[in-house]
Amino acid sequence: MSSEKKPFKMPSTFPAMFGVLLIISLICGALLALTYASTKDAIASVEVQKTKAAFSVVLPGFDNDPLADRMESKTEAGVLLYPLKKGGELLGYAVATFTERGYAGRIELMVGIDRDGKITAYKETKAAETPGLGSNLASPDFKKQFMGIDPVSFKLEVKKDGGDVDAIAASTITSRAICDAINRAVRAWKETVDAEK
Amino acid sequence: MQKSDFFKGILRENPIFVLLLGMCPTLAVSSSATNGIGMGLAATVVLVASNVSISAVKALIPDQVRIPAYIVLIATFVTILEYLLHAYIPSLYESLGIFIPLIVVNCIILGRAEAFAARNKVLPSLVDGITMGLGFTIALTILGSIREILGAGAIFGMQILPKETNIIAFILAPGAFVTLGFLIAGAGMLKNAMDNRRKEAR
Repeated sequence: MSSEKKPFKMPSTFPAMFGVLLIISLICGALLALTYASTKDAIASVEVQKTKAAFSVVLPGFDNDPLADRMESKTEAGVLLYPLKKGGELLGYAVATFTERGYAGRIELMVGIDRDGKITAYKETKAAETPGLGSNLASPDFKKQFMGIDPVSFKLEVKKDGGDVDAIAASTITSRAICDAINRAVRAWKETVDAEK
Repeated sequence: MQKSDFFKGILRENPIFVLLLGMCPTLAVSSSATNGIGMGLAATVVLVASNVSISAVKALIPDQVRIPAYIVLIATFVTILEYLLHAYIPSLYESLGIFIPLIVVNCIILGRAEAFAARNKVLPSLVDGITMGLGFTIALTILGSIREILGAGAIFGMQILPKETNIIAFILAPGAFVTLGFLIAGAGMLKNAMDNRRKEAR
């Protein structure tokens, strides 16, 4: 009877199991740290590019550096306001707002509010709503109803909830979420403008 | 290795239509053709990395802890992929969103690790990863295209049908199940036809 040499297989003893899992975790941890460190700058630059692009969409024509003048809202946690100026004069604010009530979770928007408190436009900076449905929050057809409106007279709720917003077909949840985000931006803007008086 | 090993993932052992693995991300991400291709390619990268590394160290992993070991490796690759996508292909990162981390629990990856990579050498495992990933990508793209055309009248974002023809159910879960069911049946029919033709040829 010939005895075949079995290929080596690490036995399932406690020291072996402990040791192998420890080593794998350490190696993987090191790989992750390395990747994080080497992509950190590129990722930060991607995010800055996204923010800058959003400024140009909601309130074009500015010549200052809004990122340097960034303000944090005191009453609305997590909302950031970027003043956009041309020739030293304030054009308006780009408000980085959010909502947790999206169909697929958190949605982040940049909302432009001019000096008179009117909404100029918004640009979605982070949204993963259902393609073909909630994703239409990005479509010009849905966005145009928000352009140039005065939140004092235009009720920022969907019509179903008694407001003036025409919801996206079959995407009421997403539409409500957009209203929530814009309302948050308006509140933060109002608080900031009132504080400066 | 035979020639058939390179192509088995495309029809005969297609992970979605035949092996029925990875159903959750398949149903959720296949609402458009672009999402389908993006998810397929991302998962393929992870699948190949995972198959190759697990096959390379299979002798060193004690049997009793193989599943936790595989999962740590797979989660690491997915996270590295996520950082790379965020830094260098941000548009894909944004559209795949939460489904990138969900690749970790995509059963295709763990399934092939356990069923193939743990028992075969590195080169066959590499080929297995590529063919399974390719089959997954093709299946997701076909599924995504059908759902996008019927549900949104578009393909890869380009509108080709008027909005009035949209059957919204196809973008949602019911449409995913129905379309997938038909595709699984179709793949089965195709496989049978090919097997019969091969039998007659003998």
